[in-house]
Amino acid sequence: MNDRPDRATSFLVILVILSFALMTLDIRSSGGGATGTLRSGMQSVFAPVQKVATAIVDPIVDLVDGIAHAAGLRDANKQLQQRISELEARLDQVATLEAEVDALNRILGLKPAEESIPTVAARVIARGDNFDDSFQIDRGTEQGVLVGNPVVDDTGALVGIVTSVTAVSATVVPIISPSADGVQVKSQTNESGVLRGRGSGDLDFEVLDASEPVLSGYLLRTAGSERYPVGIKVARVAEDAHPEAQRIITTATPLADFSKLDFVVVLQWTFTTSAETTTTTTTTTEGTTSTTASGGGG
Amino acid sequence: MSRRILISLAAIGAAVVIQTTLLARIPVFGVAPDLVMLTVIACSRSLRAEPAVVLGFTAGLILDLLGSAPLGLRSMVLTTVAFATVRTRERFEISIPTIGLAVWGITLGGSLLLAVVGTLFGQKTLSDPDVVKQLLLGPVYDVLLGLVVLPLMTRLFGSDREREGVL
Repeated sequence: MNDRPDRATSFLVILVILSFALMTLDIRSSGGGATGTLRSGMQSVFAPVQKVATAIVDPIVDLVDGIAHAAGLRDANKQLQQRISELEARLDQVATLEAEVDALNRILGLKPAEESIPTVAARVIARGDNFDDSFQIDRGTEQGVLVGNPVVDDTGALVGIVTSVTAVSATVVPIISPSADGVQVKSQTNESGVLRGRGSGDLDFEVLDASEPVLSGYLLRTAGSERYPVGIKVARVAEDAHPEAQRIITTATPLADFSKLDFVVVLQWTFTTSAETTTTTTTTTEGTTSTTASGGGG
Repeated sequence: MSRRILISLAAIGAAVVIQTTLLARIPVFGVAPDLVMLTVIACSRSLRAEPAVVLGFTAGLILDLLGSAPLGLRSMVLTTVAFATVRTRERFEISIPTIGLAVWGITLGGSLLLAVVGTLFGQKTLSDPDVVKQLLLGPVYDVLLGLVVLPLMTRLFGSDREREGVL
């Protein structure tokens, strides 16, 4: 019996070394290669089970959610009724403005970025633990989802990006994750900056070449990059900040509610260079508008 | 493969599904219990040392493959958790409070290890403003959930259980 703990220690040492080797390999291969194949395989096995389990536990989650928010429902109801009155008063004005915007868009032949990109609606079927912000959705390559596709919520607010995909599922890393790459955004006053996740709560917002202050409530939209098309709403500035040596550091509140994401929309958009866009345009004679718009995002 | 190991693997599979589809969706104060880590502890109380350590590695590998963190991170953490359970189980199998204390200590150590190694490997976990809350509340939830999971696992192992214990 005395040799048992020693053998267990040997197992521990070997498996810990193996774990570190796997971590190094995975990071070096950027999630691709053999580790990527293993990931896809495991996710393909678990995705159908998680899909069924999600459907089964949905009533439990709704019940718990309802109980948790019951106390605030009465106050929320009062606030909403007040808000409805305010919004009704503004409705006529907004309708007039919308008609004007539609007319101008028609004249200019423009569409908001999201509208020119094909989309796939998906359900969130699994989430990571306390230290993993990623989540799985029930759509994969069979539905046209690709690695690098941006993901938005049902209001069109940016949620994150697809990092791995199987035939029937995909993994999404949200913008609030500290391990996610920064999102290049522009404020309504055209200040360009980067939003970075902190794991929970607000995002860090940094402007490197600031000329004007950014004020609380300013809407931040994607500026267009290799990762996201231009014009997707992302967050609102949470605190006023003024430039110091042309630099602004403040926080922004994401528009998507990451605690209540049950359904998301995958934008079937991937970055294309102008050269790639040109090639696509010359090989197709119809329906090139969408492709050209995608390329323009970069 | 022995019945004990099959039961353990089935329990880990069920824990992964419940963790990812249910518990992670209803966090309390923004924190969810770690059912997979708790199941590894529960199985390691009853298994021999070597299968327990390998089971911890396997459970972690499944979580790694389903998540977005570097492959091997949770494998390393849960291997260590299983080993810590095997090494300390004799000392804590005295009463329910001592077992609770052991579960709290091991899950706290496991979460801390996950946060530190995760940060070293680019996850920036320690920069999360809620990390202290997650580190402190998670193990408390694990102890509470352990009041259900540990006796359940003991019952599942039944007469096949390698060792006898309080829960």
